[in-house]
Amino acid sequence: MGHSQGTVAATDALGDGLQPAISQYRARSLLGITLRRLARSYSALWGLFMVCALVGIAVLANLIAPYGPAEILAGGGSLVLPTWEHPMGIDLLGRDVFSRVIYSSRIAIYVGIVSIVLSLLPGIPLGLVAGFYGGRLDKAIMTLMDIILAFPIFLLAIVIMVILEPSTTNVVVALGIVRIPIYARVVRGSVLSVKENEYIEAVRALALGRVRLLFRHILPNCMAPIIVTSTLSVSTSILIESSLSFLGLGTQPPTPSWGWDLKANLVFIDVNPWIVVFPGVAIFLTTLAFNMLGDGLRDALDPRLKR
Amino acid sequence: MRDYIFKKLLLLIPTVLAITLLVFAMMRLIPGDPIHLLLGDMYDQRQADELRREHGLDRPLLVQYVWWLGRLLQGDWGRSVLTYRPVFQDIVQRLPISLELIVLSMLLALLIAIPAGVISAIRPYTAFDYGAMTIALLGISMPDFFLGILLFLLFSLTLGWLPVQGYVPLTTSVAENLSHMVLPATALGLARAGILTRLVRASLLEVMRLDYVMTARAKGVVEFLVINKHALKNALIPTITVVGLQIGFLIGGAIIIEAVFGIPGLGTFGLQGIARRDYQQVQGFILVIALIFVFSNLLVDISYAYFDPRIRYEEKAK
Repeated sequence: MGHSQGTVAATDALGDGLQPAISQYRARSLLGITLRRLARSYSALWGLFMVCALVGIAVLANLIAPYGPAEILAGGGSLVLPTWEHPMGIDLLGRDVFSRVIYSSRIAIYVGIVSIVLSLLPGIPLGLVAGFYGGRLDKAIMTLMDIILAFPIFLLAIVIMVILEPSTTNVVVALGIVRIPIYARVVRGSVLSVKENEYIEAVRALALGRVRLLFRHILPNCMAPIIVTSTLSVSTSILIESSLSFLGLGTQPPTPSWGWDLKANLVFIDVNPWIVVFPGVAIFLTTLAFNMLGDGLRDALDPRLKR
Repeated sequence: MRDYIFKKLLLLIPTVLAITLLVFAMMRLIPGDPIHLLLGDMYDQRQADELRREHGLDRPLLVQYVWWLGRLLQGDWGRSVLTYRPVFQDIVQRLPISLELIVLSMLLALLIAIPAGVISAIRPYTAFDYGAMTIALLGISMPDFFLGILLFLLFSLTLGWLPVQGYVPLTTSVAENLSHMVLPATALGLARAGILTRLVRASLLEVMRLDYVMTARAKGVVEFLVINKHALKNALIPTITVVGLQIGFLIGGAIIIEAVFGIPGLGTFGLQGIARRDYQQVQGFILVIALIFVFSNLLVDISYAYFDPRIRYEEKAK
């Protein structure tokens, strides 16, 4: 009970004094509200900063990394400990670990973001339709979603990887499919409360098309939970990608990825622990950044915590 | 309560059937021919046909499924195409190892999460609360296999307190078994502890604001009992839901952690099967993992009924 009231309050708070037909005005104000509230939390700001830095590193990897990800510097079997020149050491094949960690951020960001988009594209329409029309259609869609959700995500991802052959693209596809139900549920839940609002009745009275009603008037008011869930999901995506790559079921060499490097270097942990520790720290900091930003967004967008 | 459990058990049958069907279908979608792989360079049409017949791979799919299901029920889960060992026997041997890991880590997670969450909730916005929430956030963001590696680096390699690799069965020596299991279980448990601590705190904070808690206090119930008998029981309901959801992640985590620590459990077994394209072994692995998941969710459902009497009454009213 309390939850659904909370969501109604959310849409009220966010839609205060806004004409539903002018959606641009709305969007800007949601962003404004979010940023203003985000700024009140140090950890959220740190999260935002770290996420921006990470995206920057991924985009500018070729400028930041001193060497190429596959460039062989020393002879084979080198396993050089960290030095000023190679701050994270050199791996068995003679590659600069720092450069590889930098380049691997591209895979992480790519997997994190593309997999979310892949689950949003079917997830949002399914949730909108299920929540808006209700009845049998709702039941059919949600039952299907529950069946997918009944399987542990990681196991399902492994199964899909076994069928599809391991590769980064297939990890993204697997993660995308596996999480469609999560978004369908989130969107459906919000639609159920949003559609009871009076302005929706007003829009209906204007006899606008169903598609326009759903996507221009209902969907924008469901954005808050979608944004929060997506941000938190990016960190899960990155975690699962690195786990799968660690097991050899994800990104394959020569593409540099943190999970694979961790696994490949693990054998030499007693000789040079640093080449194992740094890729791991990179995964940790990345998921931490998205979790901090996600928590901050949740607090910023949750009307029950309005101060 | 008994009707409720009975009904849940009955619902298990279609679920398990659906799982077997899915597992079977998925395994047939795998590209690559195991017979080809088995014979390698020695591939010879006649020999291949014979092997296919022997493994029933030449029959129509539906027949293969029904056969397979019938054999499953008799405890015949097929033989590994490569090692020719019975899959069921291997699984029975490895199951207790993985279960021990999963149960130990869940216990550890709850032992940390419930007290930490309760203290954070009854003393919110204090140093303890901030500390616990920060550690929880770090725990959630830490990949469990990396935490395992770090623990291994510290306690096994650097300090030398714990054995480096391997596994000793519980029946051989409890102490040695635990010395091998403590790091994997800790690595796996700590991440869960993070999520659960947050949840216990959040739901207890919510419950403590409700009128019935005030009533209990007004009656003069000691604060300790207000929290433990009145508030906590209700606050634990959402926690149980998340424990149920976490079991899936826990099983996934166990697969990786086994790989890190070289524990001969189900995860190692399954990964081996995947790497060798051993149909029978992978099938058995996925099936047993899915069954563990389904049965642990059943336990979660039953514990719901214990913590939330409304569920029991609703069943009766129907």
